[in-house]
Amino acid sequence: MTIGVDIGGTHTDAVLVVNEKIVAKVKVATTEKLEEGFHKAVEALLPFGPVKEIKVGSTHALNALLEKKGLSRVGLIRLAGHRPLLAPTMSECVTVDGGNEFDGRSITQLVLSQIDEAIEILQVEQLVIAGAFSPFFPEQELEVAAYIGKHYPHIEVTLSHKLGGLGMIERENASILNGSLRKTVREGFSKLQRSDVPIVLTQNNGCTLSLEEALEYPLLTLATGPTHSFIGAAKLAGLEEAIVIDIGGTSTDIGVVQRGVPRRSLATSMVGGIPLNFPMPDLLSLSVGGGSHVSLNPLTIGPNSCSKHLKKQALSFGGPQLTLTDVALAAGHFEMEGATPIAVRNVRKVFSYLFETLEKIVAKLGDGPTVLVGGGAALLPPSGFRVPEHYEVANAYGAALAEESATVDRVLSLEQRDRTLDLLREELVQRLQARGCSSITIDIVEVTPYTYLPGNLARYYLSARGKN
Amino acid sequence: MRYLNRDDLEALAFGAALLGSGGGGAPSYNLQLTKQLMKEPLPLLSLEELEEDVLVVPVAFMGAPLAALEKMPSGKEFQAIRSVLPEDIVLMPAEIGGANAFTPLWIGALFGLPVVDADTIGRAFPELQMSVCTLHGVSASPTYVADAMGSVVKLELEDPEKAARQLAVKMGARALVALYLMRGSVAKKVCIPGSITRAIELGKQKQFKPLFSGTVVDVDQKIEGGFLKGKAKIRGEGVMELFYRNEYLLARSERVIVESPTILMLLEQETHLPIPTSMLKYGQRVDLITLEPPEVWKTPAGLELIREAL
Repeated sequence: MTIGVDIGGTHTDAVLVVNEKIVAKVKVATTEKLEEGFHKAVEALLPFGPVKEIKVGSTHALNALLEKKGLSRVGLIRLAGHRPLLAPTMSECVTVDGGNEFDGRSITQLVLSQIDEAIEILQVEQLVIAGAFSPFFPEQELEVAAYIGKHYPHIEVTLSHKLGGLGMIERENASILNGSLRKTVREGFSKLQRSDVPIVLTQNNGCTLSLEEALEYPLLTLATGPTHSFIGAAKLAGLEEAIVIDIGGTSTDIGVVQRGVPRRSLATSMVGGIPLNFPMPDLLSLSVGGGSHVSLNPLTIGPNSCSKHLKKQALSFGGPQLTLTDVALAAGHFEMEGATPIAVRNVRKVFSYLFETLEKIVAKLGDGPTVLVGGGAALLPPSGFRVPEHYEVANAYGAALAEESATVDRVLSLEQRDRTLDLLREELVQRLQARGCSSITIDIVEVTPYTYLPGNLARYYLSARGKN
Repeated sequence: MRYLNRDDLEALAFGAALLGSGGGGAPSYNLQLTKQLMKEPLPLLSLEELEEDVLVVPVAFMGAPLAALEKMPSGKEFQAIRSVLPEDIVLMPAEIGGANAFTPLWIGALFGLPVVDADTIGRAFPELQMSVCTLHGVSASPTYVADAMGSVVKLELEDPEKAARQLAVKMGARALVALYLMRGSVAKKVCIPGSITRAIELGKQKQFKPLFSGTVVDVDQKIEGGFLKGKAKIRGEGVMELFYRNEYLLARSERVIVESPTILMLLEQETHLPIPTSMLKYGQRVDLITLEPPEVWKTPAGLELIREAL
């Protein structure tokens, strides 16, 4: 048995899963100290049977970034002997010798005494090391990390090659965000550990991540919310291909599931307005949810929301604000403890407007069955969208389904492309088998040719997942 | 004389990307660098305002667009070239399409040099000699090629394309090239006027009427002779086939055919961002738009020169 948990901004959901079936579920309020709500939810499920593992998805890192809460100051050391002019915008930076050319030559030799000087100038506890072409040649970053680990044990280091492909600026941005998040994420996550059952975290691609990895690279947990709800929703509906609408308290995420996994975004990912270059799910967000403010003349829903304060501010709870929840209560779509439904005119118009908006977005994403999940799904009247059983905990269910994953990202010759791909596939399978996985599938194969370079080189990116 | 303002730079980036016809590299890093270095408006000279004797220096980076994402310029590239040139020079973009629209701008801002509102291509092409300078017999000798460590090589060749490209690879697949250096009197006759202004105006135009809209359902590409060559299929109302070789070259459906030198570009539907050929991927939702190229590329001599790129 596995417990899947989703720690959202408003609710912490947990499900107990046996053979991919939900046998018990619980929803509690997310607490200021994450572990309180988490342990409460987990302990409600533990009595139902021996639990092998708890898989936890959390929006804690994302919320910390968006609310800019508890972030640490970060310094950047650039390994680029030619000393680029373009400065990073997000942190102080010292450029030192080192860095690689596209073919692995050093731009200049690394000089470790310059690292001492940089540390002296930057005066931070969170450092980012970013070298030119480090995604292909990580050796210099690793050498600097080893040096800092030995001589400055109090300083934590984020290595840029762990957080993205080519694109120095985006990779630096991602690494700086990662460094700024470490402390707050450690405070949030480390108390989730239990003596009775092991826990793992989940990452952006919907797969698992050890607690240690999550503490070191919290940025990898940034997009787990929508990823899990998309995976969970498709599986609950028994579909491999689907469009998923996840309606929450303040926002709605809409995305596409292909072959059981969320489609990745092809555009540069933006988080809080900062461009990053690591894979995120392709999703469209609407500022519409259960707590959204509704005005009737002219008709608007959102973007303002009561979010956590719904039970204080909504009309049905004696508050001053008309919300989408009030409209749904008035329409009799559902009931809510402590609410006194009020009369709302033009109820049908509100929902037909909402459906029109959703359908427009869905049509943009493609055709195929559309699955509606999330706590806010209860607000809507029956429609052409499928609402599967357990729709309100699709997120936690998605976390429970998280598999192990492995990736390779390498620059190799395009000659004998098929043979190269076979070798890389084989390598991934072996790595996952070594971790005890079965039912291994290769789900991403990308070959990006490098134009204008001799040697017919290309970047090979493959990702595989397997059940443990 | 007019001045280029910081406020125009975003529009220039968008317009230059459109004129790149899918090639020429993505302007993002160059845009950021220009913003960083341009503390005050930059003098922008029209071709008419050029003094007859001033030396016009067209500049562009050459190499692999992906290397530009890691080996960012240091400024020492131009310092090296400038040290072997006379005092009285003005800069010009060799190529307005793509990232190179910004090359003379950040260099001009850094070294306090004016920039000419013109270029030698009017869009992007993959090889150095595909320039109006070749058509008008402007000599390519000497061409200067410099790297980020400040090394510079002077090539005295009438056709420097091959040698320059090999040098660029040795220099980390990233080199600054200054070529077709000419006097103001020649530039007035030869160069394409108002290129920077045209790119900014294009960039400010928010709406483009798409020739075709749909989803990329197939991308088949390979590297051939150092170029990214491929074919994509876009499914919408019917199927549009799109052929490219660094730049988008030809779009063909049952109903229409559009081909280079007409400028073809894909825009991402939600964001309206240009998609260069190197970023083309399965599943993208795109609008195909077209823009008129400079007249010179439609003449027999123009078509003959760029035949290699078709």
